[in-house]
Amino acid sequence: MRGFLDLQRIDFVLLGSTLALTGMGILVIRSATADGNFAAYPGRQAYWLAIALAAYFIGYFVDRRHLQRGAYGFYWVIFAVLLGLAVAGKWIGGVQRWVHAGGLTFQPSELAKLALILALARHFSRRKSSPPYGLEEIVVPLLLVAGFAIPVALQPDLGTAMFLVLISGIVILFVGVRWSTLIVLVVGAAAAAPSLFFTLKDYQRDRILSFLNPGRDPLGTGYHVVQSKIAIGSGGLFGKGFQQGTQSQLRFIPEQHTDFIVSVLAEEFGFVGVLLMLGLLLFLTLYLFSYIEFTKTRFSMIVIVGITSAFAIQAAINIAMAAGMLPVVGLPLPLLSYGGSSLVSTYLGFGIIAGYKRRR
Amino acid sequence: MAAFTLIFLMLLLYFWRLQVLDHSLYQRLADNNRIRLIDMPATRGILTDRNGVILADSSPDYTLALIPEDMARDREAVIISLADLLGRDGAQAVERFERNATHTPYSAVKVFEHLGPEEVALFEVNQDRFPGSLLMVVPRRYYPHGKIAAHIFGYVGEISREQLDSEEYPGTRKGDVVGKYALEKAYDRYLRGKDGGRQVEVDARGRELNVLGATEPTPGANLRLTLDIRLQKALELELWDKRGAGVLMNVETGEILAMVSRPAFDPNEFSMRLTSERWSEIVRDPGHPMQSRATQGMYPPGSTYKVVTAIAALMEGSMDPDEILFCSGGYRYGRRTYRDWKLGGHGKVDLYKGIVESCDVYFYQAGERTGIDALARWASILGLGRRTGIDIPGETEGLVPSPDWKLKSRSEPWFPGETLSAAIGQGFVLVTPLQLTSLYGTIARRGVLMDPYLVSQIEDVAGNELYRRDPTVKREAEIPDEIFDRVIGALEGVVSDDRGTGRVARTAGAPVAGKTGTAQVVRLQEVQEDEEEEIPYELRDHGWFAAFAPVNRPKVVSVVVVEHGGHGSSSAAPIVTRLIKKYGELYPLEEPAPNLEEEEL
Repeated sequence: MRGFLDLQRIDFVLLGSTLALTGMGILVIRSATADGNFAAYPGRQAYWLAIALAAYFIGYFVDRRHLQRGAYGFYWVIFAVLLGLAVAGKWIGGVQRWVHAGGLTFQPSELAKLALILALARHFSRRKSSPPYGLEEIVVPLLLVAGFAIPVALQPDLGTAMFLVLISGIVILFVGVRWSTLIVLVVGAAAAAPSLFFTLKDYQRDRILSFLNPGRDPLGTGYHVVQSKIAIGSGGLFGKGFQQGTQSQLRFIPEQHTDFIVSVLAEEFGFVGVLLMLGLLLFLTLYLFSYIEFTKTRFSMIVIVGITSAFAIQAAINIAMAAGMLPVVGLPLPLLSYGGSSLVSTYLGFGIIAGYKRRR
Repeated sequence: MAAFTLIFLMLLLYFWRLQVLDHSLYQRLADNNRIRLIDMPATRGILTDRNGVILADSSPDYTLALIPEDMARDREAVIISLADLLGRDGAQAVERFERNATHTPYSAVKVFEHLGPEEVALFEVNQDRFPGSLLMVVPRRYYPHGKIAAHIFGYVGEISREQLDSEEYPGTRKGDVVGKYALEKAYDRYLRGKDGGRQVEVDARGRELNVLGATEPTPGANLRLTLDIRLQKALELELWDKRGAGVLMNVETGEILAMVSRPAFDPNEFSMRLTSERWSEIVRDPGHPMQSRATQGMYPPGSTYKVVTAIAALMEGSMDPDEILFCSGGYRYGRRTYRDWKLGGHGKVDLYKGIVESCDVYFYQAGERTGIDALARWASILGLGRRTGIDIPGETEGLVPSPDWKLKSRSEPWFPGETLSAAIGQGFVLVTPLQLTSLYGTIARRGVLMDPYLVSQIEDVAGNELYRRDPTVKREAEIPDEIFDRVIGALEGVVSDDRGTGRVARTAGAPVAGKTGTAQVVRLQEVQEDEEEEIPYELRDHGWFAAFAPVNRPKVVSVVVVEHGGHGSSSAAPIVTRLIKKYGELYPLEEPAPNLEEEEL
């Protein structure tokens, strides 16, 4: 009986706009993979959607106390998997981001975002201390971040690693730190950046340099960005029509069903399509933030802010990257890009947020 | 929240600028009428033999392609008049154009391939008459040795609709050339490379104005095979005008040094244009040139199988190797007499003489005492009745018969007499030449079954090693050395004994152990004991010889089967002998004698 009532309280605004964006994604994936051997992709994404919906309801129904208590456990499980992949990657030599299980492949670094937010929320919801935090009180959070970011960076997936750092920064800002601490962190990061730059792989360095100067290598890294911009710009106000995008159908856009899916959408559905997508993304972001009103605990507030910010920032970075406003970092567009891991993690996170209304 | 709203508004403004304010600029760049994508197909990886001799390469090939959107309205008429100009089949070209046309706008569809110099000249003179046509240089697969090792390399061809739909060839598009058979197919994902493309701006008549961007193709990775082309050629020439197969394998590693199936096809024909008439001619050829006899051909092994019966009998303890049986030329079993190949019989026979003279009567009794289940079990332990696992697709399993098998596949009970046939490698027993090679290699290695393989290393163009195959032991059969001493001793006698059936192998340049076999195509009773030449070709026996050398420290094992070649001793054994001799000329067969003087120093 309880469960039935819970189902009746499902937030159809949240679920509806989420599904609308996923549907847009599948439509564009269909177009981006129309030719050649990728015909199975839209179907596979729909299949992942079924799993993602299940994840949504798991997040929705999971007991809040269990969520808080299990946060560290979840963290350590993901940590073990990431570490395992990093070690295995060293042995096999190559990119090692995927866990293969029973015919499915899963990218655990997608779940890492969620696990990190939950772990940080757990840490900052301790009763012992209160904000604004000093330097010694954010040592543990920094270790939590490093525990994920370093193995992910070794995969090597620098984009996701930097994103994990960014998300933690937002959470830390949200809970509040002393000004002095903030200054130390910013100065420390600025000092570390140049040395980090020289530890990058050649292709990663190329991407940053070609972003700073697109003319540097017009046929290489910069070429893809130029092609992506041509796709977006030539889409015009109303687009060229479904499966009519010359840039995407000619496969001038790299990774057009994953990282550059916006380029295909913009080319074929024009500014109108982009407006609809950005509108839905912003609406969803603000709507998710509004869930803060339904909660009182520190833990749940951090979880809502963390998950929502991660979603919105990742979307913004991806779109800005496809439009040539940021370097190519290889972050998918949540809900729209092809990829089951990202879809399932996003739905799981949304389900957790939706669950806070159920409590009332 | 305000920050997020601001960020999304900024993104929207930026897209407004790209898509609305600067639209005409990008529209011009992406203009349908001005930008063309010209594929730059990747060059396929090279195949080399173990010493680096090129076995399969690519050569430039002129291909005429058409961009549908740029063609005159009646596309069919354009294609047919182009075909007329070049003297090609118009209907076929139209069909091909329609098959390869993608719904990708403004991309070139390949229509006529392999243009000769005259055709190129003819086209270039008349190009203005055919808007939308363009000449591309495409790498074409080329096999410098023609039919040599055709069944190992396989061939390439344009990907078919079914192959495109299957998941066999990931990342391919219509019109791509892929490996379709044997190694070309099995290692296609390494060999294919990654296609590139040029985005060119053209004028209203379709002529290139400038290149806007190009993605260079990445050539496929190169395969190093275990073959030695010199040995491969030697074996090919031996079997050239025959039907049959032969294998030469490194006993220690399982590397295939030569593997031949005759008759063969010419893979170059497939990378050129192959007419449907020519294709059906090849398919209907009674010699079945497309069949890889070495890995797919299933033959009764005849007397070469007696080693299996011998090992089974000794392991089961059903025979004492020194026990003497009497062969009178036939063995009475039930209501039938099972005949020996030698009319008057072999007289007193022990295991050694049974193998050396290939006495059937001895092995009828060995088989009868051991029983079909034990025979089948030992055949299976020694690797028969299952694929050897060689790295080319389509290998067959052969057949190790047993009562269970017969009941399942034929719903008939096993007749005791069939055990006698199986004991001498007749009846239902079937092996591929490669399986028999593996069997004799296992005997040479005293029970160690190696995985046979053809590709030892794959390197990309930058020289990075993508794959390396090291010798692997498939299984070790637990058979005591005394049994191998007996069996190998007898196999040595086949060659060295004056009454041995494989005496010809004494000229191999190293001590050889082996076994002849003469597999009956029809039952003995049906053919009178006529002179071999008078029996119709199709009814003549298959001749086998399986051997390894040198006896004490085996390096190579070789098996040859000559279809309808008559006795193994006269048809197959001389070929194996010359092949081993050739091997000995190229690689030392015997351990170099220790140089005592140097050691003293």
